[in-house]
Amino acid sequence: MKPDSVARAPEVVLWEDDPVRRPLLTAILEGSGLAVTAPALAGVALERAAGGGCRRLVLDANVSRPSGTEFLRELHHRLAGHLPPTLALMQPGQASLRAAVRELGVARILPEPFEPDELVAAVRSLARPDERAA
Amino acid sequence: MSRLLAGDPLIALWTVWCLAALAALVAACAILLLARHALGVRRERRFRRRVGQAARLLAPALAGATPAAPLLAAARCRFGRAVVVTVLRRARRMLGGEAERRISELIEQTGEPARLVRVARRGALLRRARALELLGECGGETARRELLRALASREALLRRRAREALLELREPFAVRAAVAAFVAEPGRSSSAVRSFFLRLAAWAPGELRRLAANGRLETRELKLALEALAEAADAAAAPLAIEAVRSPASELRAAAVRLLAAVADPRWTRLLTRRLDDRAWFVRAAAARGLGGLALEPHAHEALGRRLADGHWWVRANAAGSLARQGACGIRQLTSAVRGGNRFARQAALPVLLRLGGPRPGAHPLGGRRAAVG
Repeated sequence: MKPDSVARAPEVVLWEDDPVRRPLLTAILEGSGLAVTAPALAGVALERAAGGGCRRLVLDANVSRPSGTEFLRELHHRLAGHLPPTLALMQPGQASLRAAVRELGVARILPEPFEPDELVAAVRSLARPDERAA
Repeated sequence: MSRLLAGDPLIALWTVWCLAALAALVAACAILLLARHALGVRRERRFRRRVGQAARLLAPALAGATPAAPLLAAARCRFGRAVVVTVLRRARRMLGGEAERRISELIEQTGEPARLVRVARRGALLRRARALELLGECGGETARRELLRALASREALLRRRAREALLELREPFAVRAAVAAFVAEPGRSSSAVRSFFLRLAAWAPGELRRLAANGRLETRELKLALEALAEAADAAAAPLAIEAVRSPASELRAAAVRLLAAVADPRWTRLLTRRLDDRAWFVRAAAARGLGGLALEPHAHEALGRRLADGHWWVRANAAGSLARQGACGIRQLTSAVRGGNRFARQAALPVLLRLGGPRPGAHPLGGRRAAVG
């Protein structure tokens, strides 16, 4: 059973296809009290991210099949351009990929390597427009 | 010969027997190869599955939520050293600061760096090079010492791997040692330079800027340095690019234009706009492409509009793509080009306007290959 703080926390959908990074990112975010859904399949991640419960999306821009940009495009298509607040994790450099994900509406980019606290702070800084208004 | 020509049954039998033996041999070899491949694939899948399981077990410890020692011991017992070390190495790549140091210490405790040092010192060249690469991913004192030692290797491949692996350690001393070894390396190949600069720009752009500014790089290498800094979108490299834009070497001017475009600072818009009139078509193409990512003033829209009639199709295509990204003002330029009398401008503008009917979000209107050139 999850503690109360976790149960009440806004849901974060994490899309990461690497079997090492996915549990590690999940552990970092859950350790800070965020409720995380981290599907292993892109299709499921898309469904969760496009569902109403997704309040924040964290994705690795360097995933393959589908690529980070393909994933975001599909999400754009499903949500008619209204992406949830999104954080993209990227390797350093990659200016062209960074520009591409920015154009696709990613709110924040966190270059690797990062400290666990930096990740948590970056995810917490993401806020939906309705949350910002409140 | 006469017996063979006459169709001697003995020779015919012998020939059939030889052919059958050969076919059986080929079939056996094929089966062996297939079996080996299938076993390899199975082993690889099993390894990946175990890596995933070990990562799930170790994740709380790597995230710093629980003490690492008991979980590490349990994971080693259940999955073995190779699986655990793979998890630790990959986690180290992602995490920095205190977490990175902690993971490097854990890797050291597994004894993996010491094993890799042994591999790196003897055996086949490629295996030794791979061991150096992995040492860079492990981090820690043992790895640093061995990589510094490998900088003096007699094999160019090992020296190259050691330099690149030292950058992966992400420590100022290691980076400086790698740069010093790079400068001292005789006969640097373009691929080695490109690979080193891309890593250096990602981990320590300041070192690459210093290297590019001290005038010890050849023109070809300076171009690669500017390209690597552009890939890292290093805003602090803009003064280098501004200097290179005035260079007589057109390749260098193009790289500088790409760097200024990657930085996407509105202060350089005027400079990029002037490059639309460069004598080299690929500099004009780079400027036309780069301006698309900036918020432009009307005079820049007009300058891009003029490039729709450029003598080189690549420049025209990039200018059209960039105008399409400028919203209403850009569309106006494209529309007037379609209505105008210049055939080139019409041909460049029309497909872009047609595609604007239903563009994919974020896609360059001209697609991947053309878009990548500028």
